[in-house]
Amino acid sequence: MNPEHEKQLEASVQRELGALGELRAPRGLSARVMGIIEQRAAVAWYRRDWQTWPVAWQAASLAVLLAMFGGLCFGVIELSQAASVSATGQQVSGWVAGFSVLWKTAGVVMDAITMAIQHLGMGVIVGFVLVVAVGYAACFGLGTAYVRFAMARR
Amino acid sequence: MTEAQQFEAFLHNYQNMVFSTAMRLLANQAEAEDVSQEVFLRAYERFAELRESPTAGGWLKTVATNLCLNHLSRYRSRWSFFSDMIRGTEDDDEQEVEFAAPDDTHEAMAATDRREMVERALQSLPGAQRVPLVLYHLEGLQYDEIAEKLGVSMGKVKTDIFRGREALRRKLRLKLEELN
Repeated sequence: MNPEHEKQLEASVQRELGALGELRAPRGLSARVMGIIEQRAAVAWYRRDWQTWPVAWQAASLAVLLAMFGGLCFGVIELSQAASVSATGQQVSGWVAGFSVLWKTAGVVMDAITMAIQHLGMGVIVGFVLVVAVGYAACFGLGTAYVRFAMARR
Repeated sequence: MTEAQQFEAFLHNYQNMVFSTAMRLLANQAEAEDVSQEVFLRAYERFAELRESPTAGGWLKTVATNLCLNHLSRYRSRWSFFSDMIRGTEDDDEQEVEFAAPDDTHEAMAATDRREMVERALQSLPGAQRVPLVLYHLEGLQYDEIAEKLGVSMGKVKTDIFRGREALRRKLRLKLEELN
């Protein structure tokens, strides 16, 4: 590469491209944009994207989601440390007598799950989680490959 | 004048600029329209700030450029886009730069025809050459800024721009020879 040649070339390209004016936008562009804006304005706020919600509702929904997540985490920790779920269940079923049978059944099922988790050992659980993660990654990879393939054929 | 009417006027003022940026980066009318639409929908969300801003044009151009680059990296196979793909033969011979047509051709050809020809030649370049070329010559970015935006080395940007210029020169010289 000759620096002088490169300089000349750069200047020539700059001259040619610099002389280009703006391209004319398609006639329908403005109507399309305004149509979408009107459509969006007609949709109730809670059906729009979360980012466009009023700030107070964003904060409230975030607080509820965090509380639910915290509750779920707390529940899982309590469950892993509880000696018997049915004991806790009995206490709760006393409060809600009508659901006692249902609660006992759920308690037995949860006892079985807790026992299975305790007996399976950490290795099996980690292995199971890994299998699920690999399966998910495989689906994701196949989906990506399919999209790329489909886009390449367009 | 309602806010919607004000925004429509704003849109009319800038739509050619946004569309030109998208079209030159993407070289595809439908995709350029989609990106332009997205740019203006984002602009509408920030219209309160942009309405009076003297830098609204710059903001629109930056958003259009970023959306185009996202679009290119997301929807087109990146490995071929940013590869060293070379169409045709590479000529490293240092010829005299002959962009300007001979005088008689220059006179015969209207300026608009020439611009159309340059536009078509630019859009026919492979993305790996066209995109850095447009960012450098039309968007005024520096080599390091282009490298950062495209996520490639500065050496690659320089090489791609040089190849793009050479390809453009060849295409235009060929066209001018056809016309003579």
